[in-house]
Amino acid sequence: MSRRRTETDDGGRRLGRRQWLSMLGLGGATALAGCSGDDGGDGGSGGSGGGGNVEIGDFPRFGVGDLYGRDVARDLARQAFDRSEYEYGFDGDAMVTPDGEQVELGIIHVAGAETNQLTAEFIAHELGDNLGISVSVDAMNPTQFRNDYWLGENAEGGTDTVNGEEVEWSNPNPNNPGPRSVTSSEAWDMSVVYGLNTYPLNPLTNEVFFDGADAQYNPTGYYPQFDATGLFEEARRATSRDGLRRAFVEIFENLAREQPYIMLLFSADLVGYNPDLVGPIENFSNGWDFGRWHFDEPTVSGSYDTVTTSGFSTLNPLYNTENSAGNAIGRALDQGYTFDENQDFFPLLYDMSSEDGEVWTFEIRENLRFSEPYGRVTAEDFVYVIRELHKSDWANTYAASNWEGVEVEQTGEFEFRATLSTPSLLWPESYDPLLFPIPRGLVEPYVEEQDAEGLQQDEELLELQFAGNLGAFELDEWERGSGVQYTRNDEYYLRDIDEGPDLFSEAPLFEAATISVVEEQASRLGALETGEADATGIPPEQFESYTESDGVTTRQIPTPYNSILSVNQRDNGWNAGPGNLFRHVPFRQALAAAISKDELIAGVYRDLANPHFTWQPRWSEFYPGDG
Amino acid sequence: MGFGRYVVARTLWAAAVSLIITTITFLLLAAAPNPQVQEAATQAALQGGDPAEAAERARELRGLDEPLYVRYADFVRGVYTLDWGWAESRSQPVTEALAQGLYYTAQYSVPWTILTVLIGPLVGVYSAANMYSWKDHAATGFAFFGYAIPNFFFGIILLLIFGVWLEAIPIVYNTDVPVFSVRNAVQLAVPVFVLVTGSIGAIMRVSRNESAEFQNADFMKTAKAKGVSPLRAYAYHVMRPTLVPLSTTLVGQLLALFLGSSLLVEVVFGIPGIGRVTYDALIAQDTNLVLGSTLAFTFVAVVGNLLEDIVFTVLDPRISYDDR
Repeated sequence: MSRRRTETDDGGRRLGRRQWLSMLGLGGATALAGCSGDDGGDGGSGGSGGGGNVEIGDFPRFGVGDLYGRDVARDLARQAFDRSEYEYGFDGDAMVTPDGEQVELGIIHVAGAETNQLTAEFIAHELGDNLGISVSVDAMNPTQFRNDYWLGENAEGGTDTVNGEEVEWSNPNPNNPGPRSVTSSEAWDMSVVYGLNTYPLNPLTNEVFFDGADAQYNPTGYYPQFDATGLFEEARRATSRDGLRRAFVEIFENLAREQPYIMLLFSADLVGYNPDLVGPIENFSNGWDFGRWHFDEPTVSGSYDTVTTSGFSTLNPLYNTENSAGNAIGRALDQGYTFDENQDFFPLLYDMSSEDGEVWTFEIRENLRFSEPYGRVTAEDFVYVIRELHKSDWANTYAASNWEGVEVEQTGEFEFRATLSTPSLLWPESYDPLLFPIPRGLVEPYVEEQDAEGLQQDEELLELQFAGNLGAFELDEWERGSGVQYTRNDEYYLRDIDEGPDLFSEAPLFEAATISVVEEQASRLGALETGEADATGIPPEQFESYTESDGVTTRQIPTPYNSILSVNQRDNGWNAGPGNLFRHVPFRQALAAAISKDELIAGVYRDLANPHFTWQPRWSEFYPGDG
Repeated sequence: MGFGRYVVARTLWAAAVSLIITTITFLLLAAAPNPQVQEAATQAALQGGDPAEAAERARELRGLDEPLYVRYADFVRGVYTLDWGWAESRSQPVTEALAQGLYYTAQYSVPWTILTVLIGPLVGVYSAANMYSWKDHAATGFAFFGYAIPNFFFGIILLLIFGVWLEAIPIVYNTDVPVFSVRNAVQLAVPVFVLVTGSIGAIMRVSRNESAEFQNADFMKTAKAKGVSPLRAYAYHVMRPTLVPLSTTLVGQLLALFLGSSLLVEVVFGIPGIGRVTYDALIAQDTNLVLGSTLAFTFVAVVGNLLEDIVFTVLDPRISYDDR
């Protein structure tokens, strides 16, 4: 959806709210929309855990250096034993239950996903060595795991005491069915089936995970022991970047201490490029400046050809929700803005500004035009589409949930204003106000008839025939199942803007472009080797050999998607004995300290990943510590 | 019964079969939960709405609240007027999606079928004529190799050799080249080769064994005694009776191979044919398109059976119409 093009097999990744969940091995993402959950609260003690013999500091990095190993893990576990009402302890090497039996736990991984399985086996081994826990490893179909273990189908809500305060689950859902006593149908201890998005551009979105015990997404039953709700509120109300950073740093330091999920690592997207190609960078925003990418010399030449794993279900910009199709649309139609390699806002079609995060002014460039007969792009087009389509109850566009509670008003030919019900300095970073330009004249007949089906099937929208000078290329043909062909748009508006790299004045620097659907991985890699494709994703096991080869340039593009060990803090977790040690912060710290991140990354991930200490990648502006 | 009446009777029966299949499909579909309705309910639940109300609205929108017989009548009318709906997973009408798939599949399946039908029996008869010689063994070995090696794997190997190492064929299938052009022939050569080697094995073995029976038959001795050339003897007197049992194998088997085999080869070579259309529709849960392709294949099979029956009687005049 966004203009970021990492050009991997599955295209760039959109940090939309629809993608909280990245399922390892299945690539599935739940289609969820909207987030509420600003109620509830827990007061809380504001920072806890640690102490005793172990010095963990404000921002502990568990699993590396001093905070890795048998001694530190056992020290932390003993602190947890002290807090537990049951007498757990160590008997020689083994961790034992009050009955004197060795603690036995299970860990679930995705069946048939090798890296995931190796991760589970590595964790089992580490927990055995360092904590004396006997861990059994089980494979499971992710759909079964999701339905029977992860989700609480009978969301019933309820109340519980969290940090001394009564919390009510007033809006339970399968992802957080209620207090810890409300569980999934099957009991489980630990799992590496799911990874989650950490939202580095707009960490406010992490509210869905951590905004109190009744946050919208909390399958494992984590109760924050710090004032998460208060801090998220502080971030939401911040009026300066510094204020934002202060609130977030505190949140992320607390999460580093509390280990709501045992955080393991961030893996990278591995991409191979044509060595003649100039432009790709090893940055989350790789591709934001596609207009200046070129072969060899910075002159217009050649065709930029990529391959994708599957066909697109639609190229209608009003209805697309797929990343790969978003890339295909993006070649011929720009969106409102993007973020440069420093994650700074970069205006494309429009600039956005706000004093307080409540009232936002959109200034549209004056050199934009649709194809005939639709003429110039004006504020009227945007306002009409927002009001009549995105905010309507019948059209159900991709952006339907993004504009709830937002009032828009046209204030000039090229200017409109949006007023948020909840102010947010990070509104652009949420991607909610990111719009495609759609001509009012094109959609008006459908609006009058309230004809959603007609709108979805409209040829002009599907084939982007209205795109005028709004994209780098013109879409020539979309052959379903086989790909898309483009030719250079000689009138691309980006050439006439003042901002950005000098080379934008020639953009794009390719004569043509294609995206071909090639489902078989071996064929995609073959195409990369012979030069038929200029970019494609590379499987980790072949990354090294491609890195050594002259015919391919490899890049590791960082992602915000993590690998975590989920521990079940609900009543059907911890099936080793009485109580649930997972609920105690020092015990989760002990688990994190027992797993060597460096060895996991070297041994299982072939060094193609980065350690994960708190709920942000290191390159995030809101990462605590030295950044 | 004359030939004409026989054909008419068989055709009517084929039409009845297609209606029965359409009816069963409709009943299965009506009994199954509709994924779109479920999706609407889930969405509503997650957004804090009422799932039951959302499901009801979705049902109304899709006409699912009509009585069963009305929906059945609509469905049958739709099927026979080729109004098969909109393929959500491709954003085009179902019939257009199927036609497009078929267009690319035909480009390799036609040469594949022709070559299989020609080469299979020829190699078989040739083997029979030279039974237990090295030529027979070589032909048998080739047939077994092609039959045994999975098309999918063989395709990747050949792509690696001819595409990546020798760079003799393109790896990304190009839909832009004209159908009757050297470039198209080049890009289709390997897929066709893989498919032909995969399918001639069985035909070659059957025809070898069948024709072995006939080459010492009385009519062959007579023909030889009359001085008929070996070529004519085999082509006329051995080939024809050999083809009778093979005609079932040929038509039936090739139709069955159509979907399965073509899918794997289409995936490896990136050909956007009917196999991938169907498979992708299944994965995407695109009900209209799955239904459309199922019906299309059913109709092809029904017509194939019809043709098979007719070919049977033409090839072997001894088969009477009455007892069939």
